[in-house]
Parts: sequence; structure tokens; C-alpha cells
Amino acid sequence: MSYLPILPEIVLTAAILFLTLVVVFYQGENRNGVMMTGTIFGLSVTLLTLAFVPPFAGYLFSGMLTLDGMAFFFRWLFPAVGLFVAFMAREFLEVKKAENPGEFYVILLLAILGMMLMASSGDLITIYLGLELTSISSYILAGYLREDPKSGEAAIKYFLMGALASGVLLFGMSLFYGLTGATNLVSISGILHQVGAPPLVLAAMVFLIIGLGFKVAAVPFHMWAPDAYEGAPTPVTAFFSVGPKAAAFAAIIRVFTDGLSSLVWEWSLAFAVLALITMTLGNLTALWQKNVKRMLAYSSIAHAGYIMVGLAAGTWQGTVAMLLYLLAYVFTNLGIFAVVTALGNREGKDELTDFTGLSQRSPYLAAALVVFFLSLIGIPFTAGFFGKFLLFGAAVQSGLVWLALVMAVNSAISVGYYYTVVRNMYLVAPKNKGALPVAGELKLVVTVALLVTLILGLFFEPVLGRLVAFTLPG
Amino acid sequence: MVNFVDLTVFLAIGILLPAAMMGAGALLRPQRPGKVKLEPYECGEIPVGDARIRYHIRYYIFALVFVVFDVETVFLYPWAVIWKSLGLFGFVEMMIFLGILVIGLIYAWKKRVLEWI
Amino acid sequence: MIEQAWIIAIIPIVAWLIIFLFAKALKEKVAYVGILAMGISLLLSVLTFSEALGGTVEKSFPWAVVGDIKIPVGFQVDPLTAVMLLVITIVSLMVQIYSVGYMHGDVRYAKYYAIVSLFSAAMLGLVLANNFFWLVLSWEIMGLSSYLLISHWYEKPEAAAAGMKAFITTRIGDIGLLLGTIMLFVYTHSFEFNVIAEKIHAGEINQGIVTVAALLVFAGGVGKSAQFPLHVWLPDAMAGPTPGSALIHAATMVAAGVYLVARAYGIFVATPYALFWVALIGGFTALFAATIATVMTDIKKVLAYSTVSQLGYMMLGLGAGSYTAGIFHLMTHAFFKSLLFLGSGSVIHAVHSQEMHEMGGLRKKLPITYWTFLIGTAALAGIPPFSGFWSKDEILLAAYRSPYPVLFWMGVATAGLTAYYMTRAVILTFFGQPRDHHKYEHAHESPPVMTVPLVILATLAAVSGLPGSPFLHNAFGEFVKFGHGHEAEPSSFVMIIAISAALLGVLAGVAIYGYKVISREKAIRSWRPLYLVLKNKYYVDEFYMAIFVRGTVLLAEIVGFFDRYIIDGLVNLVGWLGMQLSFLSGLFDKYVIDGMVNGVAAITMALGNSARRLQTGFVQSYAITLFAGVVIGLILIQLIGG
Repeated sequence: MSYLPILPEIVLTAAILFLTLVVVFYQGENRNGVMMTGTIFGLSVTLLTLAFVPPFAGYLFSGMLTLDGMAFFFRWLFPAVGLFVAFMAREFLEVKKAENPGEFYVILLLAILGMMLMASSGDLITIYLGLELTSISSYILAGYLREDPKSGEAAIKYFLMGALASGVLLFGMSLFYGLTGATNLVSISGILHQVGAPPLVLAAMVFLIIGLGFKVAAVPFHMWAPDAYEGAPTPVTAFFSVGPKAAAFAAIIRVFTDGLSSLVWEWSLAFAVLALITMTLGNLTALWQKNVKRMLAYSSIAHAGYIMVGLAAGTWQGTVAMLLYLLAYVFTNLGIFAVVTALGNREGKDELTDFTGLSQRSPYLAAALVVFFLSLIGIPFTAGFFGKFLLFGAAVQSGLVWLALVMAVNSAISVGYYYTVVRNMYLVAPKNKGALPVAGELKLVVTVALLVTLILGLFFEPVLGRLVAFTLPG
Repeated sequence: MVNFVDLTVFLAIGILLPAAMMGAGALLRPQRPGKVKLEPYECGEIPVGDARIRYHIRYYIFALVFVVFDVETVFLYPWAVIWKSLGLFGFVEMMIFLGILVIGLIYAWKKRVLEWI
Repeated sequence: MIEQAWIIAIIPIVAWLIIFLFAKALKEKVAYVGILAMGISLLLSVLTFSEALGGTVEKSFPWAVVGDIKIPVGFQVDPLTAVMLLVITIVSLMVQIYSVGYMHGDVRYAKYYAIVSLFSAAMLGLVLANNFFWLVLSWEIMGLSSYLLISHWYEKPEAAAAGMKAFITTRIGDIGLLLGTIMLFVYTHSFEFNVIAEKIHAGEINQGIVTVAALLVFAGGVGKSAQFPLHVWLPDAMAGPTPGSALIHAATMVAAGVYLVARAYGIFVATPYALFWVALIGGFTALFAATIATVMTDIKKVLAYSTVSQLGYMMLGLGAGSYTAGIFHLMTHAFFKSLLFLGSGSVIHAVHSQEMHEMGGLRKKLPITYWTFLIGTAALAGIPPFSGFWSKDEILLAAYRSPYPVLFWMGVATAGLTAYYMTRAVILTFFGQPRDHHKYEHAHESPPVMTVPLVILATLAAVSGLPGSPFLHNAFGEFVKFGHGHEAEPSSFVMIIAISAALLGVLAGVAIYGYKVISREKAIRSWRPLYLVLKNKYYVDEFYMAIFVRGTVLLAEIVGFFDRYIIDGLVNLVGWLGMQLSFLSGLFDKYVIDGMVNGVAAITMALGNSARRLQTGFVQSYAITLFAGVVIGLILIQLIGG
């Protein structure tokens, strides 16, 4: 039966439907907590199903879905992201007195379902379907704090720009359909191998690059990101910086390495240029930020730039490097945002000055944050090091030594803004004295993220081995 | 490759024919404009105020719910035509689809979307 | 034990973790954690050393492999490593014991011990590493702990500034090392010393590339070992706690640069230019720093310049072609220089001043410190039979036999100056009449926890030269050698010259400061320009200040609003550039894009749609960028891809 391999998605859908009913029928006081528990339960069952479903590799539903190693990787990663975000959300929604806290979780799950669909799609239609499911859910999440004008601003900007970018993407897709008569990536790839690279195909490719480049916030299509990240509720910002971004990268890998493999020279060049601009501009602008969420937005733009180095390499080594980098980046960033959430729940403004004296107010969170920053910079013994190292290696192997060097220089620049936070935490007297009360689930999130960051940093060989096995060509 | 001559002829006829018809009408009909005649046509209602007003948010929600069921109907028609050949599987599948939409409807109902004010 | 030698480096890491985690609970008991760990490491090092006499060990396995890029994790124990292990663990243990007394009551006592443990682990890791990857990693951790130690009392502005200066100055060299490592990796596809050396030896790599790589690696050594022109940080680094300085800025970390050259000797010998530069920089630094040391009045500054000078000596030995001599001097120097530093710490502890002009006559008050300091001085001055004599003699011999006799005479001059300034320091500190009676009255000998390490180190300073002497048939040279080792013919001429230079220096010191045969004031007056130049350390700091700091400030004034972002021109030169770029991109974002949008909006307004501008401002700008991107992308792809 062809439904068995997508049992995890079916389970997740069932959970979404069930929770939709819970939202309206459960009228108890502790709706927020009940919904969080339900969400975590649903995601856990999804992950369990994923672990126990018999392995399947191949195409489903006439090529609409491609279930391969990479799909498995992302289908596993996204529910895990959901777990982290759900844990982060409860206290935040409570503190900010959000109306309708219950629906938050349902929409989050919908976004995750869309991301899983994107990562395993084998057709332009399913990619777009997943993308829109994710995007529309994201717009709602961005504006979740209705009373907060910044949140509303984030939502409307994200929505308008997202709609435009979707239009660009869709235009590119329709061009491909018009040119090749197919929406299936494998079919498109076959036809393109015959026709080569006529100007119209290249034009269509540009639309796809820009449409998807917007979703990963590549410069110069990044301008929505800082506003959306700053205004959105902090757990949602955490989600944006890892979830839809990783999913968009999954879609990019799908479209370009599966569908447009014959144009690898052209698109790897385009991504090399984008990577260069993105990481440089992201890092330089981050130096100037006063708001921690805005700073992290630019940091995440810069990281998208690093990840695109893997695309610029245009080899399967590049793809492996991207996946590993995403893995490291996702958990590190979630850990950082958990700390920011914990602090923001008490201080409320998310300014860099809120971090003053954190080493005295909560030594554990401060130390964890230092480790996370080290990982983002790419210091050995943290997960980020191997991500950077693999990207570096992939770039060098593809002859992009200049890009590898730019990446190294950018890493060095990024130390500047991370250090500002560290200095505030350790060398500046606290603005508000007294221990920082931290919710248990936030501590749990930080601890798990910390463990993943360190374990990946020390023993990444098995993970890498699996990823290589997943993505090996042929 | 499309035959461009055919296309050009088709385009020319497509443009000329309506132009000729409207031109003929304009030449032949008597010209007596009046106040009532120049009012926007609104199905016989008398227009009141400016057209650019703020609509109540409920219109949008109604519209959204309507679109959902509209699309549902679009799916149901082709399904109904061949539902016998699809067999039990097709039936179950459509029931799941409808079930999902019903849950949406229940949600909307409980959220009192269907009530006016 | 030799098979598990890596444990030696792990133990101090464990100690660091324990101190870091339980600092509050343990209070000053953290010292015992550090001392115990270092004691175990010392014990294991001794075992390893005895086994290393029988043969070397190298173990390596891949830690991370991607395609043909592979990061190895591995260690080796060869004679060089075995000797370094012993030196590091002995000095570190002595320093930690000594610090129990010296640092007592310090505000950041636990932090101090944590840094020392972390440093020891990094240094041990450095000498155990069998590849550049781990070497660079340990190198950076050492740099970090050095920075933390120098700015230990960061409330003092000069300590904070000195820390920053050290960090930035050594960074310049580190970039060289990093580039050299990458370059060697790109050409040999390996990080491992042996593999790289083999490939170079086999002639697989272009000679010019090897030379450049060797010089880049040497740049790392120049920074870390405070060689000219990157020597400026070390004297300032004396702002840190004295025992820490003894460990990091005298005996071990600064010698890492020398170790690096020795470890990469296989690369250096493949190209004559590289070794020549090593010798030249080393010889010049030795002489240069020694002349400055003759006029310093701060006892720690004298020792700091002496360290710079002696490190230059080691470089000279290596560069002149004698691997053994350089390492031998490294070892003896570690013992006698840490002894001198700890001795000066004991003096400072007693009189609460570092100015030698406020001391005098202290030998009666501090007998143990006096005697041990005297032994250290004799060793440093090269008086036979103390250790320094034997190692210096070997370096001079190597220089004498090298093709460049000027190196030899540089070495001899340095030896004379060294003897002179150390005699001067001893006389000013311990002899004559007390110049500050108040300080003299309050001075008292340090507690045993400080004097016992002094005695132990004094013993080592006295006898550690013997393994390299003819009495033990030059056992050191037989053990630590490069390749088959071709030691230069001993020369009685060199030995006589060396002894004469040392004695001459001592005599001059005694004549000027002891018996005042030559009036110090008169000498200063008649040589005033020279004295001023030396007193101001050849104006190197001022020169850097003028070039980098003033230049930057000037530029800043031209650019105007950058001024407030330049806190310390030189220090932030790199950061400043980044800031400037980011500011420009910010301006671009703010004015160009906005301007574009506003322009469009203005046109729109002119067309009559006047009321809706406010709402659409920003999102429009984003949309315009998006579509501008589409258009530019389309044009570019057609130009390139067509």
C-alpha cells in the first residue's frame, strides 16, 4: 500500500485535526498547557512512526513525492524543530497574554506539515503546495500577538513580500511547465538534458532562484527578514530562523540538484554570488544592531549565505555539507532563541543591554549561550565547526577557494557581534539584579540543544556517515 | 511551431469585429444622456455614498468559508461522475476529504463565525 | 605509559573543569586540584620520558574525513616531545605551588588557577600533537589563556590594555601560521608533520612554495615568541600576576614559537632561505632586546626583555642549523628564567614594588630568594658550570660553524650584555644600601610554599646543563637531534670567547653598580642620546603608535563620524574596517534604497495619488529590491549563461 511510507505525515495530520477540535471544545483554564502537551504528544508520535515505518526509498503518487535519504533527514528534523518551538511557546504566550493561545500550536503543526511536504516532494506542484502551507501558517504566526503593533507589522510585511515572492516563484514554475511540458522534477531534468540551456530556460531558472532565495532570506531578497524576525513573537522568530529556512533549502536542493542538474554550472555560479553577498552583508549589518532579535535575524541571513556555499560547490559533497550545517545550525539557533525567550519573558524588550550580567543572574544560560555562539562562529568541538569545515572542504574541492576564504573572513567578522553579547553577560554589571526565573521547559530546550551541539561537535562521524550514505549519487 | 499567419489573422479578426460592432452601435443609436442613465448599474438598487468604504471583517470570513466549500464542490463533481469505477477506496478517500472540511466547519461554527454580529 | 601519553594533556583539562564548575564551593582549595593534576602529569611525563629513551611513538587516526580532506587526531612522543613534557610539567607544578602563597587572598583566585590549568593542558596538547590542526587549536587556546592571564586584574587599565595588545599582536603572527598551515595542507593534503616533511623531502613540492610556507609558519613563531618586530607585547604582558608570567611569558608559552620551528624543522631545512631568516631575526632580536634590558629599572621589565633576547638566542641556534642547541637552550632557559621570575615575584611580594631603585640591600632580608636568584643569574649570564653556559655555548658554536660569522658575533655581544644587565639587576636589588627604608623595614622572606619551588628550580638551573656537557658525553645531543644529528666540532675558541664575554659583562656590572668605578650618571650624560633611545625601547611602540594608531585616527578624523567607533586605533584596525563596510551597507540600505523608493513615491505623488504615501513606504522598497533583483538576475544570466 502506497500510504504506509507517509504514515508519519498522516499521523501529524490526524493530530492537527484532533487538536483543532480540542481548541474549540476544551474550555478549561489550562488550555495553553493542554495544547502544548497535545502538540508534543502528536509530534512525538510522528517521530516514532517515522522511526518504525519500514524503510522505503523511491517515488510515490506518480512521482509527486520523492522519499529518499534527504527526505528522511528533513522529515525527521522538522518535527524535532516543532518540539523545541512548542516547548518555547507556552510560557511566552502566557506572559504576553496572547489571545487564543491554542490555535498557535495548530498553526505551528500545519507549518511543519508543509515543511515535511516540501522536503519530500518530487514535483513543482507539491513543492509549491508545501511552500504555501508553510508560508501562510508563518504569516499568521508572525502576527500572533494581535495587540502588539510590531507583531502586526511583521505579519503584514512578511505576507506582502511573501506573496510577491510566491508570484515570482510560480511564474518561474509555469515557465518551466511551458517549456518542458512537465512539472515532475525527474521529467524536467530529462528534457533539459536534451535541450541544453536556451535563454528562456535560464530566465525561468532565475525566477526560481529568486523565489526560493526570498524564502531563505538571501541578500538582496532579505529585506523582509529583519522586520519580520524582530516583530514576530520570539518562539516564532526561533521557528522562522530555522524551520521555513531549512525547508526552503530542502526545496532548493530538490529543484536544483534533482530537476535542473543539467544547468549546474549556471546555478552554482548564481548561488556563489548570492552566498558572497548574503554572508558579507548579513554579518556587516549585524554588527550595528541593538535589538537581539534583529541581530540574530542578520546572523541568520549570514548563515544562509554560508549554507549557499554548499550549493555553489554544486557537488554531492556540497549537499552533504549543507545538510550537516543545517543540522548544526538548527539546534544551535534554537538553543540561542530559547535563552532569548527566557530573558524576554522577564525583561520584555529583547535589547542587547538586557543581557548585562546574565552570567550572575543565570550562569547556566550564560554559559550555554557562549557555547551556542562558539558553534555559530565555528569553533572546534562544537557542531558548527564541522558544518563550516565541510562547506569549506566542498568549496575547495570545487575550486572555489576564494569563496572558502570569504567564508573564513566572515566567520571572523561575526565574532564581533556575538562577542558584544558575551561581554554584556560577563563583564558588565546587571541592569536588573537578582536571579532570573526560567521555566523548566526552557531549561530543557537549552539543555537538549546544548547536548546536541556538543555531541555533534565531538562525534559527528556517525552522523556524517549516514548523511553521506543518504545523499551519495547513484 | 505555431503558424504565425493564422495567429495574425485570428488576432486581426478578434480586434476588428468587436470594434466594428461597437462603432456601428455608436453611430446608429440616438445620444440622449440623463442623470439616471449615467448612474452605476447596481442590479436596480439606488447607489448610496462612496464606493470606497471599509467593509466589516465578517464579509471576508464569510467569503473565505464560501471559497472553501466552493472548491469542495468543484472536487465533488468529477468524483461523483466516476465514483462507481473508483470503488470503495475512492469513497473512503472522499469521505476523509469531506471530514477534514467538516472539522473546519465545526471550528468555524464554534468560533461563531456563522453568526452575524 | 608512552602508548597513552595523551592522558598527560587530559588531566589538566579535568582539573580545569573541576575548578571551573566547583570554584565557589572549593574557594582557595582549587589550588590543590591544580597542583594534584599537574603532579600526576609530571609523574606520567617522567615515565613517558624514560620510555621515550627507548624509542619514539606516533599514533594517529582520522577524526573527520570528507573526500580526500581528513582531520587526524593523533599524538607522538619523540625526544623533543618528551623533553618538552618534562619542562612544562615541572615548571607548571612549581608555579602552581608557588602561587598558593603569592596569589593568596586574590579576588579571582579560582579563575587564576583555572587559567593556569587550561594553559598547561593546551601547552601539553601542543607538544603532543602530531599534526598542524591540533597544534593550531592548542596554540589558540594558549593565546586565549595568555590574554586572560595578562588582563587578570582587568580593573587596572594598563592590564586590560596589555591583554588586548598581546592578543592583537600575536594575532598577526597567528594569521601567518594559519595561512602556512592551509598552504601546506593544500599542497600536501595532510596536516601531519611527518607526512608533510616526507613529501617535501621527496621533492614533491615546489621549492618556492616551501619557502613561503615555512616563513608563514615562522611568522606564528615570531608572534608567540615575541621576536622582532612583534616583540612589543611581551614587556607589557608583565601586568599580569608574576607567577603566571613566569609560566606563560617566560618559560613555556613564549617558547612555543621556538618549539614550532623545531617541530616543523623538516620544512625549514628543505629551504636555505627560511633558516637564514630564522637565524637573522633570532640573532637581531637577541641583541636588540639585550640592549634595552640594560637600562630598564623595573625588575620584571628587565626579565621580560631578557626573555625576548633569550628566545632570539634559541631562534639563532635553530636557524644556524643546530636543532639540538636551540632545544637545549629552551630547556635550560625554562628552568632558570622561571626561577628568576619567581624570585622577582618573591622580592615584589616582600617590598610591594617592581622598581629596582626602590630596593637594595635585600640579601640579608631575603636570603633564600637571594641565593636562588644568584644561581639563576649565573645560569642566565652563562657562568660555567651553570646550565646556561652549556646551552649558550652550543648555540654560539653552531653560529660559529654556520656560513654567517656575523651571527656568532651577535651572539657573543648578547652574551656580554646579558651578563652585564643581570649583574646590574642583582646588585641593584640585593646589594648596597637600602634606598627605600620604609619598604626595606617591612620586607620579609616569603613563606616556604614559595621558597621551596625556588630551591627546586635553582637546583635544576644549576645542573640541567650537565646532560649537554662533555662530562656526560653530550647525552642531550645524542637524545634530541634532527635526523642523524651532525653536531659541530667543539671549539675551544668559542668556549673561551663565551666565557670572556660573560665575565666581561659581570665585571662591567660590578664596576659600574658595585664599586662605582665608572659613574653611572656620568656615563648616562655622555651617552645621553643612546641612553634615551634604549630607555624608550628604540621607539618601536611610538613608531607603531604613529603608523597604526595615529594614522588610523587621522583617517578617522577625515571620515568624521567614525571617530567614536575607534576606541583603540591599532587594536580595532581590523574591526574598524569591518565597521566601515557595514556602515556603508547600512547607508546604502537607508539612503539609496529608500531614496529610490521615495523618488518613485514622489513621482507617484506628482501623478496625483497624494494621500497614500505613508502606508506603503517600506514594503514598496522591499518589493522594488525584489524586482530589481529579478531584472538584474535575468540580464546577468543571459549575459553569462547565453
